[in-house]
Amino acid sequence: MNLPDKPEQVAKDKLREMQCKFNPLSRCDGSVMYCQGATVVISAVLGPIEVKTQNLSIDGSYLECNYRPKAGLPQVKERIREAAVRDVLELALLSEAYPRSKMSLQIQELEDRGSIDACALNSACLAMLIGGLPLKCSFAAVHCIINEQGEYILDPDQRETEHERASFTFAFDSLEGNLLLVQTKGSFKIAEFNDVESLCRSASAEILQFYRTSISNYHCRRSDTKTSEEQMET
Amino acid sequence: MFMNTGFFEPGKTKTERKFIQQAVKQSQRLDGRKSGESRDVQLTFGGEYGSVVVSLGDTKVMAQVTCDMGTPTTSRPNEGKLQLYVTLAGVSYLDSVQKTHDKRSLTLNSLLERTFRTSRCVDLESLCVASELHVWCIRVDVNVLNHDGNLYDASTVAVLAALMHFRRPDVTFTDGELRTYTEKERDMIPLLFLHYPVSVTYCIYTSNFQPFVDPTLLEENTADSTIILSFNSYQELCTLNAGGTVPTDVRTIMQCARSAANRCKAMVTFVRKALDQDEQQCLEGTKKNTGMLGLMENSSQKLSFKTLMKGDQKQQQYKTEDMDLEVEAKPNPKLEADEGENADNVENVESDQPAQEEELPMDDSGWLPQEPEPTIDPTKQSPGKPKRKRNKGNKKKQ
Amino acid sequence: MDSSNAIVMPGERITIIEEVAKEKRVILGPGLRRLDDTVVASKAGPLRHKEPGTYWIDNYQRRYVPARGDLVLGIIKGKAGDQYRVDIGSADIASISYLAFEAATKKNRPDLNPGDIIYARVLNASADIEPELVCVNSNGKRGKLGLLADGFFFKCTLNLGRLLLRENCPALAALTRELPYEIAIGVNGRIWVKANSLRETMALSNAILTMEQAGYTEIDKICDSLGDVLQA
Repeated sequence: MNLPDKPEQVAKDKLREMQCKFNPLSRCDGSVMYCQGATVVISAVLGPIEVKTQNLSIDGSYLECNYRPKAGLPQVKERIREAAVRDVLELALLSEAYPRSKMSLQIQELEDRGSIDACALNSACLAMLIGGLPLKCSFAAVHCIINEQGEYILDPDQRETEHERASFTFAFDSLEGNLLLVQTKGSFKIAEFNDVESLCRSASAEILQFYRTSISNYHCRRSDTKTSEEQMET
Repeated sequence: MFMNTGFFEPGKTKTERKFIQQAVKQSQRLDGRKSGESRDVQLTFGGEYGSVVVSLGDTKVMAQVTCDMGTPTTSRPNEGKLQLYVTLAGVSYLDSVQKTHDKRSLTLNSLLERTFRTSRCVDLESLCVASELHVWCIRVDVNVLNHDGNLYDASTVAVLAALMHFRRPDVTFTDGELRTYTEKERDMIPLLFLHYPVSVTYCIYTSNFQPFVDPTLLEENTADSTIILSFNSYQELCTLNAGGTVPTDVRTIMQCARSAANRCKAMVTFVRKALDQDEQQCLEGTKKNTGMLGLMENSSQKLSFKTLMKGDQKQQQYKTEDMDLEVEAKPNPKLEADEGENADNVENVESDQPAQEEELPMDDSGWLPQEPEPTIDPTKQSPGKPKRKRNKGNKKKQ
Repeated sequence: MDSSNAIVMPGERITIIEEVAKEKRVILGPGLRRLDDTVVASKAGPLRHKEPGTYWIDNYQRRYVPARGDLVLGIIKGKAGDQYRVDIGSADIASISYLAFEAATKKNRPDLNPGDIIYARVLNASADIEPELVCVNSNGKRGKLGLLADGFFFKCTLNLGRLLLRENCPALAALTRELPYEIAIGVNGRIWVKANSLRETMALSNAILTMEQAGYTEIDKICDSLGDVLQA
């Protein structure tokens, strides 16, 4: 592979470094390039826009959600991921704000180095926030695995997932920390599940804080100018 | 009937069309480039082999190469397969506007097919493991991320760079048993190339027969004709795609061909350099950000045409004039308009000349015209350039 | 104005407004909604306040949502019955009646074709019906509305459009010092400009677009360089 063997050692109970770049694309209403460690995805939203008659709903907007893999056509795996994102978004989206319209979300995978499900969900949330689509709440998704030694590894790198016994993806909302999504794979004890859940829950706070600071930075960068303009006016 | 209001396409209103036509008449471009000046190209290689993102201004295209064992076709039993798939859907939101984009996707698809498959740039015979039984199938997925004009060039550069970056695993076939080696067992093998093609796109307007290289979306949508030429690094023509409503004369096409051939050559050199640099960084482990993370950082870190080809200028003297256009750092729009005017003056002077030369015999000496008149070129950027190229061409021919 | 560092996230309860609402009437703008007795945000961004009681969330939205009275730039898409269909960048395509132009009668119809740009006011806007435009004021005069010919037309963000439309916008005033021009700004994030010459128009539109990227503080710098460009 083209990558150096071990990029940097991240502690097992810490998230990899998160970065995001807002509106890298010009054609959509909001887009974000989001990475967690070396996993990179781009999400773009459009909406509210005109909806086809067959999808029209008079009391809410129709949500379209597509996930595109890096190579090849979307397969079952990608469809499942897509469905997971859609399910979570449907819970979070304030769809009655724009009836008879469509909200469209596209996610493009650029590099999958572990926790792609969680990354796709987080980038979807950021894209919605920056595109100004109305949400009931924001949400954060965290991926965690239990390896063969029984250790919990939060937000694993691809190399670490090779030795997984069980993997979990949780999504929490920002209001009361309710669970929006649980995906598990492999065998585990219910006590382990509870441990992982609380581990992920605490990590989700970090992600939500990341949303807040990124958006705040994005606004500051551009609105310092506005305040100065205000001064000019007075 | 009136679907797709969600999308805003520049260049669809009369106002814009009229404005661009007028601007073209005065040889001005909105972003301050000269007619022969391209936007900067940046490459970002992914963590896997055969994965690259090309940015051409705001246009972004991702290409990913994957390989698979398969059976060959009966007509070519000892050749591997090369398949190209273009996706306009996804984050670029290009699939939803039916009519025009259908055309766009068809043109792009056929351009890539002709440039890479029909021109036989990859040595497919080397991809054969066992005749009639096992061959490698190389699949290239082109994902358009953002469209701001000139998808064609961005896509061809992306496909070429991805193919050149790609490594396939080694395979042996003994006693009817196929064995694929992992990377640890044996080194991965790069693809073999017969030649390296890339395309260059020009837009032509009715108000001025001068071609404009590397159009933005606004320019592309308002253009009357688009000419796409693919050349390989030996300056051989691989694809010519000319469409639209302007009757284009031979001279314009020749002029395009001449500068396209040089541009393509420079582009291939650039891709090579970028690959070398990327590989070196990997070996040394100095690569700061891995894979596509490179897209997040500031442009100074990227493998960009302008920075990489700067040094090239000194080594390859014959190209100096040509490179001057490329190397210029992107000036801010204010200054650009300024330069645009200078270019305007130069071009106005020159465009007076072809009027006297109307009856030149058609050149049939080959794709790279050998005739000495520099005046047949109404738009060349500097008088010295074509001469040097012609010399170069002569050397090649002999 | 609140400090711009503090932003609210969707779903957050905004108690400041609730407090104020106990004493006087408040108006909830974009990004805020009432949920029973609470006020809740639905978008992310800094909370803005304007006396006496208007609150909204500032947001870099790019999609235009029509509101009554907005001035917009629309592109004619086609004719349907006795209406033109106009693209104003909203979810639904807008319509404008043949009779909504100055001095238009059943016989004397305005001559507009697909691809033309009009400056119009939104007459009707609601989530459930498609927006309707007019090109006349209540006295039947066109004023500044109507067909925009020549010039140049481009898209910008909604924010830039709104900013330029503010009263006494310093940016436009500064540009006026450099050169004379006509401008039509739509709150749907579209701008039409026309100056005396092509080069001036080009320089002007580039200046406005640079403003968007560079921020409005640099307006003086932009204007200076604009002046240099034009003198050259």
